[in-house]
Parts: sequence; C-alpha cells; structure tokens
Amino acid sequence: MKNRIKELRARYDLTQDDLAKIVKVRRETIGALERGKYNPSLILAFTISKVLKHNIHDVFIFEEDNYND
Amino acid sequence: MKKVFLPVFVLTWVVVLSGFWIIQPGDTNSSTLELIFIGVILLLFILGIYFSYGRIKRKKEGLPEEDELSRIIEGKAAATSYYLSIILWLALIFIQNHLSIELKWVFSIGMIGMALLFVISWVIINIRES
Repeated sequence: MKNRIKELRARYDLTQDDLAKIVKVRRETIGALERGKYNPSLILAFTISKVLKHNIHDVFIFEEDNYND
Repeated sequence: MKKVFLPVFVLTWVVVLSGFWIIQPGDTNSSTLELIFIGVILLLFILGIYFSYGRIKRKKEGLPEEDELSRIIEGKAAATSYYLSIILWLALIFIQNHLSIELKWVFSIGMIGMALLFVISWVIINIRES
C-alpha cells in the first residue's frame, strides 16, 4: 500500500515528530509508514487522514497488484 | 511510568539472582565461562537501562512509550525467540546427554541464551520492519 503522508505532511509544514505527537505514535512509526514498510491499523490510518485533512483513500493508496505480497 | 520501571525492576532482580547463582560463596576461581556469563548479563542489563531511558525520553517529549508498530515488533520477536528457544533447549538436552556438562551450566546457557535470542530477534525484526 502506497501513501502520501510525506507529501501531505510537508504541505502542512509538519515534521515527523509533530505528526507522531498528534496521532500518538512513535516517530519511528511515521518513518516506517512513509517508507512503505508498515501498513497502519484502520484507526491509525483514519487518524492520520483526519490530521492531514484528506479522505483515507487519498492518503493511503491500495495497490491490488501487491495485495498478496 | 509502570511500563518504564517494570523492566528495570525485573532486570535488577535477574542480575542479582544470576549473580548469586553463578558466583557461589567460597568459589574464588572464576572460570572463563562464568566471566562470559557475567559479561552477557551485564550487557543485557545495560541494554535494558538504555531502552528504559528511551521510553522515559519519549514520554518527556510527549510521544507514547510504545505504539502499534512497537507492539507488533515485540510480539514477532517474542514468537521468533520462543521457537528458537525450543531448538536451543533441545540442543542443550542433546549436548547434556552426550557430554559431561554440569547441570548448572546447561540452565545458565539456556536462560541467558533465551534472553539473547529475544534481544537478537528484536534487533533484526526492528531493522526489517521499521
């Protein structure tokens, strides 16, 4: 699953630290999400989308090709 | 804060009890194996202090001590080290049956090995997942 967290975070001038504090996760988790190494829980995905003022499907892009990877 | 002090509390007791167990009263000759064990226990203790310090620092910065990713990593590390520990204990039983090793050392290697396996699993999974 791809995501636009880095792009949207930069648009709102938020650092990884800021976003981590708002959504109550560790900074490393935001880094892992941005690098596409971790797929968040539904609650975290919704929270991040809400903070970044976008719909969940605009922030997290589902790639059907990689579904079984 | 309970989550911070609990690992330190447990680690302190592990070090103290391991010390009592390994260093027997009146036993003045420390073997190389004893010294290795003491070194490994101290290393694990220092790692425990380091991780607890990291948690305190995160709490002061207003970040959570743990989150969903760290819990997943801990869970995977626990599962991996559990499977590896079974192999370790089976290997130790096999070695004990074929070589004349004191039971004290078999237990020491087993217990310290389990702790080491967890730390190594955690480090590898943490690098891979985050």
